[in-house]
Amino acid sequence: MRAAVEIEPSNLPSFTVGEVYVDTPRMTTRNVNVFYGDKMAIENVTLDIAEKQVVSFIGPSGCGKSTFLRCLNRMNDTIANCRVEGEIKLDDQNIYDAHIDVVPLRARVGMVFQKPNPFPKSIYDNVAYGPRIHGLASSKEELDGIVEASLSRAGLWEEVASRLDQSGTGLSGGQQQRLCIARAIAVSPEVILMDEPCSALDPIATARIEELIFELREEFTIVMVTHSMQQAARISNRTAYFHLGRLVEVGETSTIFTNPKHELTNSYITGRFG
Amino acid sequence: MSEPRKGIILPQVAVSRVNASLARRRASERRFRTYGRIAIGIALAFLFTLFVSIFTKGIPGFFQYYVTLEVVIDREKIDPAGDLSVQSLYDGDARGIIRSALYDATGAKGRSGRKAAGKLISLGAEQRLRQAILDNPSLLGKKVAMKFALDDDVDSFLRGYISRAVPEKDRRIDDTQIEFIEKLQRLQLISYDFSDYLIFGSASRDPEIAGIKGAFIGSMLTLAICLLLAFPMGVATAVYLEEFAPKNRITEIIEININNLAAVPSVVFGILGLAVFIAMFGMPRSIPLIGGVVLALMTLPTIIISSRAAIRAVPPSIRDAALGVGASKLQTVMHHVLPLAMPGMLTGTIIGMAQALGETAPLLMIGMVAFIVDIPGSVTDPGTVLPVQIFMWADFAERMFIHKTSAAIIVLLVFLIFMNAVAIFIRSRLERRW
Amino acid sequence: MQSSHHTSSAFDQDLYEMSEKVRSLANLVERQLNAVTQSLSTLEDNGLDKLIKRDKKVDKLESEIIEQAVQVIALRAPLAEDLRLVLVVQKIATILERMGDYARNTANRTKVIIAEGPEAVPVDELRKMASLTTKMLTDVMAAFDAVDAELAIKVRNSDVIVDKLHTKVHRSVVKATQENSEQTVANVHLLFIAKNFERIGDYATGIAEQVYFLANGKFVDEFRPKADKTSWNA
Repeated sequence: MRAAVEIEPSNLPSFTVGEVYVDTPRMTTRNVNVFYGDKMAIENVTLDIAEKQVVSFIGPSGCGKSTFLRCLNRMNDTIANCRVEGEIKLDDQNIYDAHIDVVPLRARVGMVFQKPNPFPKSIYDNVAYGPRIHGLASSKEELDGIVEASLSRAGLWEEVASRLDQSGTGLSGGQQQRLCIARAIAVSPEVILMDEPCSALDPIATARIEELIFELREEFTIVMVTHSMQQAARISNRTAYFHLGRLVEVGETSTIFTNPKHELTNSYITGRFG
Repeated sequence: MSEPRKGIILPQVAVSRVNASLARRRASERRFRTYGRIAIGIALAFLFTLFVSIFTKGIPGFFQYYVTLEVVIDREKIDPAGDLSVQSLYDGDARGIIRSALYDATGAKGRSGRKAAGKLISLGAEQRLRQAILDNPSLLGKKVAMKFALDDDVDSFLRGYISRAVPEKDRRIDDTQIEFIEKLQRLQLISYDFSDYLIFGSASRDPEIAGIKGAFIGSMLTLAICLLLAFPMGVATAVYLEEFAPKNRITEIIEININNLAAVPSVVFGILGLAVFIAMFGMPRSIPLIGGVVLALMTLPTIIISSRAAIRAVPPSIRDAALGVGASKLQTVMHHVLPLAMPGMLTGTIIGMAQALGETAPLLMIGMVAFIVDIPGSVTDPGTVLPVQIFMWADFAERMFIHKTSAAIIVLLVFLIFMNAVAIFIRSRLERRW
Repeated sequence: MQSSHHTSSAFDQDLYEMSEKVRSLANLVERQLNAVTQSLSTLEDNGLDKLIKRDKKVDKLESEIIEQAVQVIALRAPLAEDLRLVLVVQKIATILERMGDYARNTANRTKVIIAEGPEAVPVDELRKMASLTTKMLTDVMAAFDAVDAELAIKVRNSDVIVDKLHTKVHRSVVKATQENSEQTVANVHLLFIAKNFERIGDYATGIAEQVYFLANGKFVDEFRPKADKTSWNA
């Protein structure tokens, strides 16, 4: 049905296939290039991230999806020789402008990581940390309220309500990841970036996180990197396929997984890379 | 069965080949274990010998011979000014009071007899009597039984180091003195007791009253300076280099030099201290302040290297987590990285301090080897330190110093073990919090 | 069909086996159609009972394909073109089974007709219908093999000829019945046989639509030409 696809740059499209633009974007990226030293990790990515939707980034390892995700809240700043070109806007404000402070940016664009990484502190302190450093709560009562609400929204309150003073690292993997999500939403971000949030979890814990993400998209704009295509298919509104640093194709999840337009996307989705 | 393909060994062939090689592998494993045991055995034997030698010599160093005398404390004689001032007591005749008690006990008569008897008792006895009166003036005018240290020659005789078989003129103790000693023994006035001079005495040429108090306090003051300088500087350097410094040529050179500094012989730091602080700035010699600074320079690389290792051991995911909720770089370091790295940093610091505690060479260079009787009251008073004290005592001729040296080594070792215990305690305490 | 391979070769094997099975099912149904056409055009019972028995094989093959489709979906979670292939193969299998049923039904009716010995059997038209629908099946399976949407559309459009033939046969049989009511029983069966072939043609267009979906990921949206006028002038 389709010709054999060789994995080489000559097969990459010069522009992204599918619907790059959306009507109600929360973040927009235009012609983004990312370099590690001289090596180009991301090339010419233009993508809108729609408000209150989940967009999944899929693609083979090393395709640049995590790199691109980390551009969205400038987590790449911590990498010494990482350079970002192009325009990434949050509310018409280029987040890579010289005068932009990353601290408020990261409060608005939160992040959940691959490995659950709670602070080695109590459950309460884990969630309260963000509000504390940003001065979100004016009283102890308010802070307590934020902690409870965040844990509830992360579906963890009932499990930990009686042991808030215990260490966050003593929880199970799935609970830890939900704690991390609670910590991220405690600072009321607008966008939450998730870098393979379930890759270290068992299927049951994964299902709970997926259910949680599905609920959270009512309130938050979520960008998720995943290696599980099933996961992308289950919870995301839109799916973007990255390959060798390019955004090959993006579109409605249902379309991407039933009838992808680009042969690279098709080969990846049907498991034909080897 | 089909013809075996090239590169594929049939399972049964593989099993037989594995079995054939088993004996050889087991033998080599056994051999390796044996080598390991031999190595540990040798190390333990050396350690055992060291401890046996130190303890057999050192334990007697904690004890010495005393004589109990009934002294009549005549108010006029001891305190001629009558105001109980130190000056007045020094003007008084403490020696006379002790001697007359000694003559009474030994029954020494005549000039030569009294001279021989007088040499039995330590020169420290007078000081002890004065101190007793200063502490308790109500003793004045009373007849009190007091314990005085015997002279080190008498001590050596009582320990059996001086043989009667040796002709009298070659002995440090003559026959008359032996007679007196035997008489005192018969009267049960001589006792073998814990040596308070060792712990509370300061440096002295007289071994029976020489002690480590001065050196111990000197060591503490020096270490305090060393810790106050090296810990904050070392930790700050490590944090800056690990977390904030840009990775470029200059930081690379700094890094290499810090690592090299750790390998510089300690005596070189002593010369540096001598040249900079004493020669250039004209600061006094022998003071714990300079000693501390020099030792701080010496321990800095150790602290920096171990602190950097501790910082690097903090999982990057914790930094990501903090940065991810919008903590600034400094907040990330202060709230998360430092607390997690602290146990490792403290361990490195205490190891560095223990090194500094045992250091002699650089302190010799800045003159902390001077013979100082006074106990230093501040970091700018001349003083010495424990290892230098041990070094000096080891050099002295008197027999009794052999025991004192070993006893001081035991004190130093106990101190080191204590510091290591503190390190372990701190580490386990901090780690249990997480 | 797949020219580039899956990382998992067992997945390739599963898809290949399914395609092969649906091909052999199509061959079997074709054989059934040919056999019944032969008996019908000569009006001689030429192994019709055997044919009827053989329909069991058709049913068995269909259920095998559907079982395998369920397995592949459960175990391999196929996506995109693989998913379409699995869905299409099991759908085609179901359609082929129905075609087989019609072949069997036609065989039963043929037996009755041969027994009744009617006079006015429009053998030529029926044979034409039969060979045309059989060819449609052959062609649509070729289109499936090549994932050729164009050929599939061609097959789909050729159904109009079958419809026209059906109208013709229908009219002639109705006319014959009006003229000679003694032959009513045989003629009713003839009507049904003609209807069967018309249905088989419809099913072939169904397969053609599946092939189009397989190739394009969407369904044919054009209107299909129809020429079955039997219901208007009864």
